[in-house]
Amino acid sequence: MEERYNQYTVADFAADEDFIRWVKNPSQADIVFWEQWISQHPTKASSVKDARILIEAVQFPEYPNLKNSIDQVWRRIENSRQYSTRPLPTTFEEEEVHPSSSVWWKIAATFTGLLMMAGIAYYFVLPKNQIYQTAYGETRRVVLPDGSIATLNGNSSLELGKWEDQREVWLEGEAYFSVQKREDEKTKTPIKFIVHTSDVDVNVLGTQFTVSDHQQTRVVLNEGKIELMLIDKKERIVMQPGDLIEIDKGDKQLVKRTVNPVVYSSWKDNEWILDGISLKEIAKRLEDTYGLKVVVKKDPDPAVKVTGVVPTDDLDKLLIALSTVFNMEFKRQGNEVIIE
Amino acid sequence: MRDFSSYSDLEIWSSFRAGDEDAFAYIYQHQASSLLKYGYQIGKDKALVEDCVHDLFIHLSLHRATINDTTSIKYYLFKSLRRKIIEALDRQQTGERHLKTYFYWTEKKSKSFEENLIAEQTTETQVQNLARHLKDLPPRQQEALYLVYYSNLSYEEIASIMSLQVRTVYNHVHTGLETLRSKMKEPGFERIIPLLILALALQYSAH
Repeated sequence: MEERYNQYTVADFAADEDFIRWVKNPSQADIVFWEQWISQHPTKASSVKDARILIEAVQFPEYPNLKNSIDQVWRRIENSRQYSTRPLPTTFEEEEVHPSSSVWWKIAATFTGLLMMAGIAYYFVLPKNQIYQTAYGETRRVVLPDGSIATLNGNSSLELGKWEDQREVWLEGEAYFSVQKREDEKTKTPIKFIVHTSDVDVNVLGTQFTVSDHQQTRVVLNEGKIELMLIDKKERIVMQPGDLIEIDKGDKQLVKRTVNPVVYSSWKDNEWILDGISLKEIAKRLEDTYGLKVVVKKDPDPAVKVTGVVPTDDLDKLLIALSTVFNMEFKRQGNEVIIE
Repeated sequence: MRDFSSYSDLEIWSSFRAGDEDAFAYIYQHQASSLLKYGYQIGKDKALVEDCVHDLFIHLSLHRATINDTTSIKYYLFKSLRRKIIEALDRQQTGERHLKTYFYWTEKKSKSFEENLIAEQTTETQVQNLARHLKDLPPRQQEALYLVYYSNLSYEEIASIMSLQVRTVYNHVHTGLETLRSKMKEPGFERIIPLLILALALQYSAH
């Protein structure tokens, strides 16, 4: 057995089951054997060393959030099994008639009365739907009733729906969503989270993504999986992490690209990641989020694209940073930004 | 839950097949991590892999009475999961599949230029550099390397999981390693500079 190793190349060692065990998960016997073998074959020492490096180099991407997934999949398995083994419901004819059913009716009636009164009070006292709004240049973090978080970019509004059998919000402007997975306590089915915009409905179970509803409707997925429902075409699109989908408000043209999603959600951390952006695009972004009118005095070279990170917590600082990265002057005069 | 750690795979599997719920839960708890990780290597899509693991265990629990005996639970599950993932991938369009491979690696490559530069100067660099070349290997070579290094399964079991001859699996591993080794031999820039200086110095001293 020892003989065969004399002729071994680096790859031979690295593909050998016994050698691999010594590197990965050695027993006492493995350690003794290999130390002895190397001391007897000093010319092979460098091959052994390289083979070890090779084995260590073979590393694969880690499974993101493994612990979480193990628990989630198990819960799903248990739910599915309950569902598939549950006995069929008995038919109506076989159901026993309860002798004291009249008492139940009385209780039910009282409850209905109370509910009606509560409903009337609710109608007058509470506003129809909760609405969160941001002014130009303001970002706001909203914790929704289920613990999900919506971060609103400037000049945006988010209206909450009824939040009964599903979670629904209506968005104008731009927001980053971090949605908690929720399931119905009784039926154990996931409760949907839907973001409505003018062009699409975004259906979610639990995930992180950015929705923007300006001149174009744009959805960028950071994590998880979501489904878009195009309102016009009644078409469904399933998005994967890194997907960007843009729908033009005018001609409803749909564009799908692969992007680094962080670039599109960086504003929530008070910075913009500029990922090869043109002056025209920056001007539009300033108008959308700060409500400023941007006047470009000197026509820029359209080919100039800028890459970098600029802070957005303070508009004046942002303009200074933009002046530096574009090598032009961004001057603020009242409600206008003049670029020259 | 009962502790099955002193039981053999055959005993645990038989208990599960006889309707023992604890055995079913024990099998999941002990195999879920390696199944998800292996599935992720070949499926590249977390949601798809989780669906497949879910479907696999549902299938097992529905057909517990009719499934085969096994002396290696891990081998049995790996083989079944692989089939499920391939079926799921086949149902998707090829274009989508390409996209996935693309996402998967761009995520990993998103380190900045500076970070990479610094990393290249540390001792771990050789390892990290090589790991980058791993993605260029054909999928079967990557899978064979993954199973040989990370699954604790034998070449025979791996061959059966991948529906290949043992010799073919070995060849996949060996070819993959040879390719990686050739990358290891390519001198990096930082290793050329001292050589250049040495060459220049020798030239001057010769004059």
